[in-house]
Amino acid sequence: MKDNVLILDFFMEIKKNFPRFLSILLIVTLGVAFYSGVSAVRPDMEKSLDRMYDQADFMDFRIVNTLGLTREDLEAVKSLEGVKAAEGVYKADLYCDLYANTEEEEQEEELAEETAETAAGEDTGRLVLQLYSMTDTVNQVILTEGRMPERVNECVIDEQIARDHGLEVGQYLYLSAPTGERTTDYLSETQFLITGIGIRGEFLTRSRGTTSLGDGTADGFMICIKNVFVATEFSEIDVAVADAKELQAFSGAYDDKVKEVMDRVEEIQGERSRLRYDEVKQKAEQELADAQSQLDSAQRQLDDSKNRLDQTAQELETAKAQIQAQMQEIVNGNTTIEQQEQALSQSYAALSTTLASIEQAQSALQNRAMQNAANQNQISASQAQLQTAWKQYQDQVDRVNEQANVLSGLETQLEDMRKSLEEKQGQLNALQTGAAVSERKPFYLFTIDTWAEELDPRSAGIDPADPGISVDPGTEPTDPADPVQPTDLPAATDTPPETTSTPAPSETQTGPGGNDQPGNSDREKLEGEITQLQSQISSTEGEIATKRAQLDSAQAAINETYNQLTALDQQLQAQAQALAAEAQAITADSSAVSLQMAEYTKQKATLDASSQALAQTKQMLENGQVVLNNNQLELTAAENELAQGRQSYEAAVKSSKEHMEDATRELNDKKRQVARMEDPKWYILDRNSVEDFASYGEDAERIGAIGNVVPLIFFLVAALVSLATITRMVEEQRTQMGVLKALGYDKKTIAVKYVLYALLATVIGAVIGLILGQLLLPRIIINAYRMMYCNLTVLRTPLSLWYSLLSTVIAIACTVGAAFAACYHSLRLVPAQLMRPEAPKYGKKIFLEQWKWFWSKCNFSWKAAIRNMARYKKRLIMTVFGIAACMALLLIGFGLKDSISVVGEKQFGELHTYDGIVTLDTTDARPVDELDEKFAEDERVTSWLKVYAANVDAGVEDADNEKSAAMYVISHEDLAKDFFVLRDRASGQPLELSDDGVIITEKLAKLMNVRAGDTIYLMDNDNYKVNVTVTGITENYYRHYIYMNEACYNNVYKGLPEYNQELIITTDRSEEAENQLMRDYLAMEAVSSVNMVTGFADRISDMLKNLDAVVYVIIVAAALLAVVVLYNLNNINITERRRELATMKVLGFHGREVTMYVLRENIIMTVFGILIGLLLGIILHRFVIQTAELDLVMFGRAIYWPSYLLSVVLTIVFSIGVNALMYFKLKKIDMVESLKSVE
Amino acid sequence: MASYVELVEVTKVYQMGEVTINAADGISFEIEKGEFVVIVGPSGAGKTTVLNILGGMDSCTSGQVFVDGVDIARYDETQLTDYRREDVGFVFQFYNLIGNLTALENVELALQICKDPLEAVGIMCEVGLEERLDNFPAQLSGGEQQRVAIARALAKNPKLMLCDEPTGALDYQTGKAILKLLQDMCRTKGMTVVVITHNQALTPMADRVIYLKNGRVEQVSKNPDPESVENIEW
Repeated sequence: MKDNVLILDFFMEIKKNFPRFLSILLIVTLGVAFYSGVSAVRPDMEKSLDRMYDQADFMDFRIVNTLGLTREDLEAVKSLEGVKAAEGVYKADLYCDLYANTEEEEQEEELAEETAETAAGEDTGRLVLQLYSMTDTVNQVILTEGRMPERVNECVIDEQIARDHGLEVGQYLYLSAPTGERTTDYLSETQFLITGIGIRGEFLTRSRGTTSLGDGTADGFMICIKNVFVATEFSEIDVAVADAKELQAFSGAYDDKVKEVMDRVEEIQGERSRLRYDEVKQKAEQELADAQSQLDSAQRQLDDSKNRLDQTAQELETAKAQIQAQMQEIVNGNTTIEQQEQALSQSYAALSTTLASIEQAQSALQNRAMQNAANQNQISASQAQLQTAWKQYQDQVDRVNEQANVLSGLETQLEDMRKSLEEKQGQLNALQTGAAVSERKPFYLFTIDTWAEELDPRSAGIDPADPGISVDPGTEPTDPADPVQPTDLPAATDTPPETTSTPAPSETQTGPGGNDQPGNSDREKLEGEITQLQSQISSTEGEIATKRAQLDSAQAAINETYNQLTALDQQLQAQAQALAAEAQAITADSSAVSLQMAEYTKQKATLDASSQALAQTKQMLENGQVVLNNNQLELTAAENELAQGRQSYEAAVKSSKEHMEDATRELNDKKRQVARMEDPKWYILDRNSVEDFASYGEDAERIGAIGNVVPLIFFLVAALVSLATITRMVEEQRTQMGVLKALGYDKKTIAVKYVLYALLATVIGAVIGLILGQLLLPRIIINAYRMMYCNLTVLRTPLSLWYSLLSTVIAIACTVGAAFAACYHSLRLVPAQLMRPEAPKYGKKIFLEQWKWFWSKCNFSWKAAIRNMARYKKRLIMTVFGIAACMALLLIGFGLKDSISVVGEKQFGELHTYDGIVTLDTTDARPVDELDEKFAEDERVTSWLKVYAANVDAGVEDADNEKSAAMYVISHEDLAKDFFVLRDRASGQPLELSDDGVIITEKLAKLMNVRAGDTIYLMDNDNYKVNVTVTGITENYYRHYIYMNEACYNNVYKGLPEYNQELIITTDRSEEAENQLMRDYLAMEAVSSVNMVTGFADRISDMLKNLDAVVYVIIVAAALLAVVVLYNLNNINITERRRELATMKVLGFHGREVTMYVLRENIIMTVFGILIGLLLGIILHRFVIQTAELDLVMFGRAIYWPSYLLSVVLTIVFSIGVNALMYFKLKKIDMVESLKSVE
Repeated sequence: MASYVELVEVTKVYQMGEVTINAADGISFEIEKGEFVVIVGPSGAGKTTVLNILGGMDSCTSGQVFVDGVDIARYDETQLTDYRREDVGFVFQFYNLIGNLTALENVELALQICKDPLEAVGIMCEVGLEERLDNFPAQLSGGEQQRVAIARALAKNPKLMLCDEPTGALDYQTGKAILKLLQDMCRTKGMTVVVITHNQALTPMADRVIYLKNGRVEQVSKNPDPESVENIEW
């Protein structure tokens, strides 16, 4: 029954004072949420990764051997106890030429009017890919898209490359090997179809590790099936340990489990690697021997070719001398010929004079001949006339002959008629005695044949044409006109004799007429006929007579003509004879000239002959010259050849020297390798050898470290406040406790109420806090970390039993403990004491009052406030601490943001002020000048600086703190100021590069623990080590740099650097402009990559945006802390001082004045809190920054004034907010309280 | 001419859930300036209600309260505060000194908000605490504390001094001394002093005695010749 009353009382207490209950609950919620939430981040991070690795069957350890691993090795590992799965992996690093690929795509895309700009903009053309063979049991790819490769020409690629370069499933990739090697050395295929896109467990960040290709950083991975790889030995064996998957990564149990199996591998590794060693060594030795013999034969070949070359050179020398001699001879011959030629030309001149005179004589002769010919022509004309005349004469003769013929015809008729008459008369005579017949002989004329015979010799004298007259066949004078053609004449003259004289025909005609007369009758008839015939005869005879007369006259005329003609003929003949004589003279002269001519011709011939001889000699000489020239040419050619031969020999010597040096070095290396192989070893590497895994683990540890500090402070404050609240509550119940005690309740029963009260509030608060904190906070913080660990696919935020219990227990300990303590404190008193009001606290002077000056200046109200604070020290401490915690949290939050943003802003805004890096392709030793010219032409580039950049390991001897850093050798120091700002961080004092040493970056200096003036060593990739002095330490936030000038480099490395980068400053930093610029320069052969700083700075600022989440968490936590703490404490304060405040009211203080009376204390406490918080915040911020920062990064150490301001303002705002609530609370205080007795 | 203080039909009703309590049920009385008044009555008679209303700590439900001719019943909260600050001096049963202020500072606390205060040290001398100026209340005896309280009330030079059982927490002798002080102040300074008590024995020392019972004025009696405190025994 009594219990029921108490229980009722318990709930009544809660109900009555619900705000107080709530405030305890809330502060516990907050504390637990923040503590368990932040503390859970580390285990949640570890669990998330563990889960992801479990999903991917990520290897527990791997075995690497520089000699490669065989199938037997794999089998040996597989057979070990505790090995769940082991798989050999082939690896290869190759280039992927995106440029050619994307160009096509770009075109296509341009056609499709898609914007490939952004994707292509970042293309550096050539990617460095790490190829892995596909595994089935360990290290599986987490596919985000597509499927695993099934055929040899299929692959899965890194999600990162796919995203960055816009690659998609279904596209093809083209692989190429580095210069000097072939893709086929590694793979059976060069073209791969992307069938899937995925993530590999070891790559959590954007970093893909290092490679020997390109600039040394891999861009992403690619996975193909095993058959594609040419290699026979595995690069590594990935091992999954049995039962390890079930264990939590990063945990001790896991580590032990894996270690156990690793130890077992360690046991067999000696034997396995020795076997492999023997095999390799044998092979290597064989190779070594081969190489040596090759080297020797190469040397021999080289020697031979040198000998040959020397011989050739000697031969050539001899040939050259010969040619020289011949050359001299030809020169001599040429002079003789020239002399002869001169003599010859003189002779020729004389000859030509002779020829001229001959030609004159000839021309005279010709004239004479022409004259003669003209005369001949005249004669010919006359002869022609004569001929005509002869023809006419002939005609006349013909006509006469005709007439004579007619006459003879007539005479024949007459004859006939006379015959017939005679017959007739005979008949008659017969009749009568017959009649006699008379006959007549024909008449002949003389022929003219004789004439012709006379003419012939005449014409023959002129006729023979003399060819001897012509001097030269070429210049043959015109044929003299043919002399008269007397030859025709005889033909003409033949005719006249045929004009036979016609016989007198009249006699014969008359003959036959009177022949046929028969007897009597016939007689009469005969007589008639005879008469008739007689008449006929007489007429005919008459006719004949006339005719004869005519004929005779004609004959006479003819004769006359004949005579005339004969005379003429004779005349002509004489003339012809003269002509012939003349012609004969001419002929004689002509033959004289001909003789001269012949003489001339002879001389000429002689001359020509000698000329010809000379020409021949000359020709010979010329031929000789030509031959000589040819020889000379040949010689030159031979010399050239020799030179070439020598050059190529030298080149060969050089290259073979290099080659041989290389070969020798290689040989030596191999020898050394072989020698070093004495201790063959398997490297058994656990997950910590995976860079991202290790850094993830470190990050988790870091946040764990932060989680151990910051939330603990928070939690402490919360615990203190809840403690104070509970204590106050118990104290308020003092009288009631006294009554209960007086009524006979035992201590326990009385205390239970308060303990339960505290417990209930705490447990409810803790449960809410656990759930909220552990679900929300890790999620927010891990998500922020996922900016970096972008490939973390799993996010797990389970409730952590440990942190849940721990925080709950601490919370309960605080509150319940406080309740116990307060109860104990009160309950040990006797009821009488309990029921009396607690003795009022003594007011007393405080130390400040000793400070008269200050105290006298103080307003009375301030005095009261100060004394009040001094009086309630517990409250003061808690309030100040609460506000300080709030302030510190805010400062940490904003400070974190400041410090991290500094990395991007300062590094790329103030320190590295260049806009881009153009990396040169130095493999071909291309001159940088080409690029310089291009820059000079390009308006977009305002300034450029040649630098030599190289990665070196820097360290201090015997200090074991070697760090990798980028060494920059700067070509122009004065120009460099536009590109790098070297300055001391604290003082801002600029630093100058000196010839005697280097300037290193701050974080590097800190990690190596060196100061200006110390000496450090630098070791390059070839393990060449130099010592340099540090002359300055410069502000820097991202990566480690070592700057030096050319002179310093020269001092240290004894030579000038081979500049391999150009830093540029551009005019336009817009994305499009930069993409265009990158494309333009990438197109140049001398450029191997272009990187713009803007992109990097942007990425960092993007990362920061996500850090805002963490900052907001902190701000909200700070605000809640401030509110809860201040509210609680103010609440206690007001409750405690209710009577006092009521009295003030009664005394006539306005509400505002009463509030101010209380607020004044709060203001002072807030100020103190802020000041302490400032200090605390700065310290904690530094601690957090230093624990959270990575080796490569230096976060800003400074918190900027806006952050201070914001923190202060926010703290004040929270404080004012809470105090505003107090105002209403104060207003509610009833003045009647003042009349009551002290409880 | 109206009295210096006059209550006319003042009622005060408290609504406590279902129950209505008439703490003052039409109280009317007058007080003249410079009088020493004792309001007396048993517990629950309405003494405190009268004190609250007269002191401006509470307002009446109905009726009028004239103080120096002004009806403070119509005052709003701010005016009431000013009224308390300027016109009324309180002396509480439990002194209600501010614990962490010295005796002098407690007096100064009151003076600080008052327009026309008296000099603090002088008042402290008058109440006989010149030796204890810098002592904290906890270092003073009850009587001394009450003297400080009286000094605090007097220093304001109020129109009206209200004392709520000023001797309630004090022993006989001390109580007497306090009452003597109050009486002396009234006489020497012409202060109007109202003492609220349940102690009937004090009535002879008053100029005017107001008997309250059940929220009503039972009787008002005037003492033409009040006794000195020294002569009163209880």
